[in-house]
Amino acid sequence: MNITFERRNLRQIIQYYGFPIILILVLIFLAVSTRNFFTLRNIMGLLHSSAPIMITASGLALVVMSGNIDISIGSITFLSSTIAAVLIVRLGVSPVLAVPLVFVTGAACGAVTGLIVTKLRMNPLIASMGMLFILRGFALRLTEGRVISLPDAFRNFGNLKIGFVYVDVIIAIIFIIFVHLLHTKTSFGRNIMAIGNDQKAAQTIGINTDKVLFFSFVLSGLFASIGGFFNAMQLGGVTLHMGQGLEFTGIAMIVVGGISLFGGEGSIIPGFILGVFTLNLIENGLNHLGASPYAYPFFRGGVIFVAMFADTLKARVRRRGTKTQETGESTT
Amino acid sequence: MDGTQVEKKKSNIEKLFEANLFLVLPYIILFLVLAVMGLTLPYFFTYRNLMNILRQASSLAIMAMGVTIVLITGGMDISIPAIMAFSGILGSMYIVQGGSILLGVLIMLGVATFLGAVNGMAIAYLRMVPFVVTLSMQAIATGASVWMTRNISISGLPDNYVNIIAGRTFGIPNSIIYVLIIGFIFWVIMKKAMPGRWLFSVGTNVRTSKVSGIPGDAVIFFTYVISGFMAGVAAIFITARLESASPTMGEEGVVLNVIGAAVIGGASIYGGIGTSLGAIFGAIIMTLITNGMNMMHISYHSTLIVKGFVIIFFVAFDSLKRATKAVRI
Amino acid sequence: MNSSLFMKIENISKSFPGVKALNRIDLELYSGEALALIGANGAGKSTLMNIIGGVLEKDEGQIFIEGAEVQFKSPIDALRHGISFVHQEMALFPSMTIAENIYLTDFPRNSARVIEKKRMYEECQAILSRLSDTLKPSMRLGDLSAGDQQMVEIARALRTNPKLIIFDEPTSSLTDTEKRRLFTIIDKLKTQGSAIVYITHMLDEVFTVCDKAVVLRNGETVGGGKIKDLDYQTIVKHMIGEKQLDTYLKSTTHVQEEKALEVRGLGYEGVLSDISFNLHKGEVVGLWGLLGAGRSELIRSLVGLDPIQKGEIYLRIDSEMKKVKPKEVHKQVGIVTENRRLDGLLLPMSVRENMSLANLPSFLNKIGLIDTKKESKEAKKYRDMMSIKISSVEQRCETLSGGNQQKVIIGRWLQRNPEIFLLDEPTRGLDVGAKAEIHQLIEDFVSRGAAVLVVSSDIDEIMALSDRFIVLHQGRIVTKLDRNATKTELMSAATGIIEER
Repeated sequence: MNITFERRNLRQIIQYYGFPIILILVLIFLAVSTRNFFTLRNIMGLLHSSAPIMITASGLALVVMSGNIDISIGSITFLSSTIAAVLIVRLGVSPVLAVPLVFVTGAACGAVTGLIVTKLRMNPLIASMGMLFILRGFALRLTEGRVISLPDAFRNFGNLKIGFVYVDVIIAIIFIIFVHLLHTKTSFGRNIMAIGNDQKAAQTIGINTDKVLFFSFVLSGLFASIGGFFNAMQLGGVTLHMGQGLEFTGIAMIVVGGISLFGGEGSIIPGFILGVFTLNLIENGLNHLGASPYAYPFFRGGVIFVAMFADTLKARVRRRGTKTQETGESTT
Repeated sequence: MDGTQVEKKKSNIEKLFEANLFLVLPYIILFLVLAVMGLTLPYFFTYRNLMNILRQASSLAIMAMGVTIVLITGGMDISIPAIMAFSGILGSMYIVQGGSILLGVLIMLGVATFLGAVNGMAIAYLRMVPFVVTLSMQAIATGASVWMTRNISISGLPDNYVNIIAGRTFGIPNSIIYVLIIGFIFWVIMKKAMPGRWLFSVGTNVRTSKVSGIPGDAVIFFTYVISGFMAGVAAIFITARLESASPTMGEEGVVLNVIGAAVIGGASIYGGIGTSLGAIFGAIIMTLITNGMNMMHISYHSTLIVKGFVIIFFVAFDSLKRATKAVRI
Repeated sequence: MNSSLFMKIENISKSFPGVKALNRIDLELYSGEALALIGANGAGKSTLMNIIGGVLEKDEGQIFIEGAEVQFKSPIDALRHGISFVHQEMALFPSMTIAENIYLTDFPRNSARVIEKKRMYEECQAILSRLSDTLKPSMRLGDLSAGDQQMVEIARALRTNPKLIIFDEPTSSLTDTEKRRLFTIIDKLKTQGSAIVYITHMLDEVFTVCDKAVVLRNGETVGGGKIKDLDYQTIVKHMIGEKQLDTYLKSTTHVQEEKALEVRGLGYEGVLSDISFNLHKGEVVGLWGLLGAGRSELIRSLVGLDPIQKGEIYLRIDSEMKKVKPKEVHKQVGIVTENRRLDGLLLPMSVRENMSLANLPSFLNKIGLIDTKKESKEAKKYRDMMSIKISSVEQRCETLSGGNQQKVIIGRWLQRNPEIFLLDEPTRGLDVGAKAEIHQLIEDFVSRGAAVLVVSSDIDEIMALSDRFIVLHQGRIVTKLDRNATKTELMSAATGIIEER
C-alpha cells in the first residue's frame, strides 16, 4: 500500500535545505573575515590544485550514485602514474607509449573491482578495500621506495597557464561536463540513477544491472588514473604517499555536493562542482585564518560528518514522502 | 508471493559453490601456504619464533575481537587503529609527564570507549552509513594524533608500565595471558549470556529481534562502544610493547591486518557469524603470514598485496555462499 | 463500440507444489471492453494474469491472440504481443522525472546515442495527456501523490501502445478523486480500442467501469457474464460459494466482562485514522478488511513497531485500565507478525533459540548465564504441546515447514504467558491440519482468559474464530459487527459498503 504523500512541512524543509544554507553562511563568514580570500589569484590557485581530484572524484560520483562505493581510487591513481613514471624515467620508454598505459591501467583496475562486485556478488566496500591494498602494494613495489621524478616537460605542462587560467583546470572542467552529460543524457547515466534508486525495480523492468555497474567501476578507475596523472604532473613526479586518503577527500566532495551515499540522488552540475568548491574554499579559508595544517583532517572529518548527517536527514524526508508498506501481502 | 516468482538464473561460478566442501577450501589453501613456509624457512616453526609471533599477535587479536563484534551485527569499523593510536598517545603523554600509570591506562580506555560511542551514536541512532562514519572518525583521530605529537613519537614510558604487558607471569608473557582471559570472557558472553544472544539475534535479523522486544538499536550502539574499548586495550598493549607512542601505530596497514584477522577467523562481512576464538586464531594466522613473508624478504609493499588478496579471497567464498543460498529460498 | 475478440484463453491449468492454482480456465477478452477478474485472496487471479503477462508458464491449455496461438516464455514476449501489465507494486524511481521513468528502457536517441529530450518530452506529454491534465514530463516522480505515481505506471504501460492492459488492484492507494480519474481513463482506453482486464476486490468499482466480469474461486471460474446482467448479491455468492453462505457461529464463548485493552483515537496520517475499540478478556476479535486496509499497520502500531501520531492505549494493570505507551504494550502482548520469514524468525538459528528469544531473562542462572538445558526443556514442552514435528529442538528453523515455523513463533510468546495476543495471518500458508491446530491453540488462549485480536484474509477462518468483528477500510473503522454477521455483510463492509440489514 502506498501511503499518500504529505506536503513537506517546515521542519522537513529545514532538514532538506539546511546544510547548503549553512555552507553558504560559512563561506560568507570566511570571505568577510579574511583579506585575500576572494581574489582572482587565490581562486585560480585553488582551482588548479583541486583540478586532479575533481577529475578523479567525478568518476567516483557515478559509482556512488549507483548506490555503490569504490575506495580503491587512491591506489589506482598511485599505481597508474607509477607505471608510467617507471616506464618513462627508468626504462626510457617514450611518453607517447607510456602515457596511454596510465589510462589502460586505471580502466583495468576498475574492471577488476567491477567484476568482483558483479560476478562474485561481493560487497563493494570490501572488494574495493582489498583492491586498495593490493594496488598500493604493487605501486610501492614498483617505486622501490623512492620518489620518481618526471621529466621537466611534464611538470611544465602540469602547471601550464593560458592567460590567467590553468590548462588543467580547463581540462578538469571539460571532464566534469562530460560526466555530467553522460549522467543526464545517456541511457547509461539514467540507468545508474535508476539502480541507485532501487536496484530490484531496475532489474524488474529489464535493465542489465551487472553490465551497468561493471562499466561504472571501469569509468571510476579510468578517471582516477587520469586525475592521478594530472596530480603527478603538477608535482613533477610520483611520491610514496600519493593517493593516500584520496577516497576520503573524494567522498567528502561528493557528499557535500549533495550526492547521496544511499544512491539515486544528486547531480554533477551543479551538485558535485559545488561540493568540490565548498570543501576547498573552506579549507583555504581556514588556511587564511591561520589554522594549523594539522587541523585540516579535523575540519574535513567534521564537514563530511555533518554533510552525511544532512544526507541521512534528507533520505528520511524522501522516504516519508513515498512510504511503501514493506511487508508484502500476497495478492493472489 | 511464493511460487509465482521467476527463478533467478545462477551464474556458473555460483553453481560451483553450492557444495559446502568449498567453504573449507580457503583454509586448506591457507594451511598449505603456511606449511610451505614452515618447510622452506629454517627458523619459522621454532619455539622462539612462535612465541614472538604470539606476543605480536596479541594486540592484533584484541582489535580483531572488537571488529568481529561489529561485523556480527553487519557493521564496519575502520577507525579502530586510529582510535588506538590516539588514545595511546593521550595516555602516554600523561604518563610520560609524570602522571600515575593507573590514570594513564584509564585515559586510554576512556577516550577510546568515548570515540567508539560517538561512532555508535551516529550509526545506530542517527542511522548514518557505518563505513563513512568510521572513515571520518579515523581521519579525525589520526589528524588529532598527528597534531598532538607534531609527528614525533613519545618515548620514555616507565618500566612499571611496560611490564604490564611485556612482563611474564609463571613464565608466560602477560600479553598472552590477557588475550586468553579477554578471549575467554568474550567467548562466555557471546555464547552463553543474554547480551551475546542479543548480538547474534540482531546480526541475523534485526527486525525479528525488535519484534521480539530486543532493543536492536542499543545493541548496535554497544558494538561500537566495545570496539572502541578494545582499541583502548590494544593501545595499552602496543604502547607497552613499543615503549613509546606515535601516530604511525595506527597507519593504514594495521586496519588491513585487523579486518584480515577477523575475516580469516570466520567473521562474516554480512553479519550474524563470528567468534572471539576465531578472532584470536585469525590474528595469529595474519601475524604468521606477515612474519613468514618478512623472513622470505618479501617487502612490506608486497605483503600489502598478499593480504589484500587474502581478504578478497575469503570474503569471495562467503559472498558466493550467500548468493547461492539466496537463490534456493 | 466496435469490439473484436483479442485474446482467447482455453483450458489453462497451473499447479505449484502441493496446490492446483488454476484448473481449466476459459476466458475471452474483447478489445474495447473491460473485464473484471474478481475473487478472494488465493482464488488464482494473480497466477492467471502472470501467465498472460509472460511471467509464469502454464502447465496446460492454450492462448490465442487474434486467432493465432501464442507461447509466452518471458514478459518481453508478452510485451511484443501488445500486452501490458500495471502491477500493484510499482517499479518506479522517485528521484527521476516522469519522462525518465517511462522511457528508462527505451529512450529516444539520436545517432550519437544521446537522449533526445525534446522528442522524449513530446512523446511523453502525448501519453500523459491521455491520462491527466496536470502531469508534465519534467516533474519529479517522488514529488507526486500515490495516485499520480500510478498514473505514471499506467503511462509506462501505454508507451508500447498495448492492445491489452491488465490492471492489478489499481485503486488500493488512491483517493476518491483519483479513482474517478482512473475510471475516466479506462473509459477512454476502451474507446481507443484497448482490451482491459481489471483485477479487484472492490465490487462497486466493477459496476462502475467494467463491461463483463469473471469470478474465480479456488482456481476455477465459477460465474460471470455481462455486468448489466449481474448484481451485487450474485457476485458475492459466487465469490464465497453457494454452499457456504451460511454463517458460522463460534460454538463456545469465553468472553468476560473485564476489558484487557482499550484503544482510543489511534491515528497516523495517511495510514490509520481514528481507531477506537475495546478488547475483552477471553474474547477473540476478528480484524477484517482488504489488502491495504491497515490491519497489519494497526497491530504494529499497538506495540510501537510503527509510530503513531494520535491516540491513547490503555491496558489492564492491577485491575485498572491504565494509560500506557506502545512500548509497554509490547512487553505485555504476544505478537505474531504477518510475514514469518521477514521478521518472525531467526531462520539460521535453532528452534530452541527462536523460542526463547522474547523470554531470555527467565533462563538466566545464578551467575547470569543462559541455562541452555532449561531453554531446551521449555522448547520441548511447547514442542509437545503444539505437536511441532521436529527431530530435535536444535533443528534450524529454516528447515521447518511453514506450519511448524508458525508454531515456533507462537511458542515463543506462549513462554511469556501474555494476557493479549495479536495475531496477523497466523495460518497463512499452512495446510488444513496445521490450521486446525492453530485454531485450537487460540481457543486454549481465550479459555484461560487471554484476549486475542486476529487478522485473517480467509473469511471462513475469521468467522470461525471470532466473537465479533472490526472491519477496516483505508485506515478507518467502517463498522463493528457482532457474531451474527453474515459473510455478505463482512464482504461488503470490507469494500466500504455497509449493507442495510
